[in-house]
Amino acid sequence: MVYTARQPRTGEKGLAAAARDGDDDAWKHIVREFGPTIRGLARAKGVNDPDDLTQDVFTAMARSISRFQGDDAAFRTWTYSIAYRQIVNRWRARDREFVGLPDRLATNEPGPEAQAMRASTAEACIEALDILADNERDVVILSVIADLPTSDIALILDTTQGNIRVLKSRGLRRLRNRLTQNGYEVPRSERKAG
Amino acid sequence: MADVITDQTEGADVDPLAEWMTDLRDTVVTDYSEAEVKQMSAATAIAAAGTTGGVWAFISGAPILTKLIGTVAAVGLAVSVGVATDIIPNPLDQAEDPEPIPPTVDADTPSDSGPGEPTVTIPDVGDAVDPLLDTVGDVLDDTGEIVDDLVDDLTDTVGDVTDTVEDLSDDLVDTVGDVVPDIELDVGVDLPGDDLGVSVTVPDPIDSGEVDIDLGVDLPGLPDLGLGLGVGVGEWGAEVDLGISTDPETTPPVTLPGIGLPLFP
Repeated sequence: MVYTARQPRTGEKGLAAAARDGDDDAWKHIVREFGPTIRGLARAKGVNDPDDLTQDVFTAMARSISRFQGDDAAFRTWTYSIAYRQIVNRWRARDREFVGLPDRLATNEPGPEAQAMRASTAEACIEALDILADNERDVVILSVIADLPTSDIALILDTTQGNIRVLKSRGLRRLRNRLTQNGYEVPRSERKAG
Repeated sequence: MADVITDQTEGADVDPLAEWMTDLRDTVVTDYSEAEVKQMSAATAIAAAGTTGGVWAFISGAPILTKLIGTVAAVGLAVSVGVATDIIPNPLDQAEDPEPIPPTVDADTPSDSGPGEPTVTIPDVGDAVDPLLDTVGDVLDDTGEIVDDLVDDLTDTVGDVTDTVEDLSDDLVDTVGDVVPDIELDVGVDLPGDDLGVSVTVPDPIDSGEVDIDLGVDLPGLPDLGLGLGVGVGEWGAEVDLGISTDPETTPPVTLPGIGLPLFP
């Protein structure tokens, strides 16, 4: 079975079922679709080696996918639940001393200038998160980077949807105030390129 | 902050929060190349195979139609090698049973129970816990390195054994091709379980050619299942046998009655 990146699957066989059956294309699709976002979450949380963490997430999924039950939407929540736990565990266990941001933001951009520009923008964005409490930061990055709805974030963080809404609202309000007061600085060439 | 230039022309009309959200998503979420996708999916597939059980197979060969055409069949050998990954802690166990995240509820945090309700404030014990977490982190680091080294050693050992078996099988294939009229070679590598078995059996030469193909499958949670298919070609005909064993290592297979095909009446 051949999957197309970011294309919903409406066939009889869901992505999880195909992966459970050892479908190579399904696993490639999973890596292609979820890998960048998982790596992005790891970067935003300050994980030392985002690529290594992303591989760990997929390894954990492969070991446990036989126990997963649900549709593609549930599979997405399950995937990000594993990613979030891996990030939290990695941070607690090993990554107490982080390397500099540019190292964590190494990209495949062509040319060192483009890479530096992207890293600079990302650095500015991630630094803005520093004003948030940890739980606010988790909610914001799961919402913004993974584009998860409140219900999914509540499942991942094991709390109520009401609490998620409060944390998200408060976090975004504090971010807006900070960005408005200080002025959000964006590299111009990055904006034009984008 | 890095060396950046304020975009003043857009600042007045654009919500800085929306700008920030777009920039955050666009800069930290970067696609993997196809080569990276293949590499990660392959590594994932190996992990999946290590969990769903190893497949061990052995093929025994013997001369076919020895008396009839004087040709000796080649012996095929298939060795399936997995990686013993069960000794590595399953990360999902942590995911399914997560450690409690230290609450960081501020005094001004609205309660879910509604406005006006008293807000629970939990004392900050972070300073007291941090040294403990550091120690635990160090221990986990050391443990992880030991486990990694152990896995590397085990992988190397399995690799060496596999190489030896393959060399041995090559020699035996050559020998069979030259001289031996009948030989049976069994190689079973059962991973990620605890069995690694290799056996070589050379039975008495028989007059009739015979080929046995046996396949053992080890799936977690299920008894071992062995399937054997034997094809014997004798002076007066051919016979096909099918044997099934629920545990080929401990019980002999139940062989179904053979089906004889008279070739040379």
